[in-house]
Amino acid sequence: MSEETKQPTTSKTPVTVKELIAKEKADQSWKREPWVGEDGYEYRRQRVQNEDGTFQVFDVRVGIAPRFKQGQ
Amino acid sequence: MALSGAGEVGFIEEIYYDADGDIASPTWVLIPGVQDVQESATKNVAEIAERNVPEIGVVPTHTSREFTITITKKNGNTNYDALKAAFEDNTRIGIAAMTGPVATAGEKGFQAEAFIVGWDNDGAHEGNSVSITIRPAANATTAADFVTISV
Repeated sequence: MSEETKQPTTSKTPVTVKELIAKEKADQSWKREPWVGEDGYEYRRQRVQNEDGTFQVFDVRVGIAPRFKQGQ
Repeated sequence: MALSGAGEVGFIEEIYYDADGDIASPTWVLIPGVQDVQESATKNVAEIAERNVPEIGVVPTHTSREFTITITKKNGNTNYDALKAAFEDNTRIGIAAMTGPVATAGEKGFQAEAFIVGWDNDGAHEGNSVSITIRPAANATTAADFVTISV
């Protein structure tokens, strides 16, 4: 058998976009407990699933007025 | 586009839901086929009638808020079917009514754990839309509140 016709001994199964999205959907590593920033506001970490199936992580500031930590 | 204070048309409004109702760390999904969004909020009031004041005065207390969203019927669409199932099964969902795309810095909105309490189909054959009514849930794990996207 020539070099050209040798079959590879190992092959990786191609990962489809659908599989990637399913993996990302199950991923919990992006999550974070709500926290209070230096400005006194509460922040939350959230994400959105875009129409193409991909995900985007972002933070939101909560409330109209700052919320202070307990005891302040 | 964030609210500018000038007159704005409503088609920039974006409405999202979160299937597991966790608004502390939700995964928002855009509600499909939105035709119209209406927000209605009224205050309960305590009336105070003092004998030396001719007019009854009020003190605002709780806010009663609801969103009515008219969407195109999309039977078989994953997100449409999820909303229908949430209505039929009394499942708590998350709702985010935003001034624009939820992951864009500066956009503002209202987020709440909520129930779909109304599902008004405009006709079994001729109609193409459904109006759903969404109200904040009692005993929420995370309180409903206004938010600003900080990214």
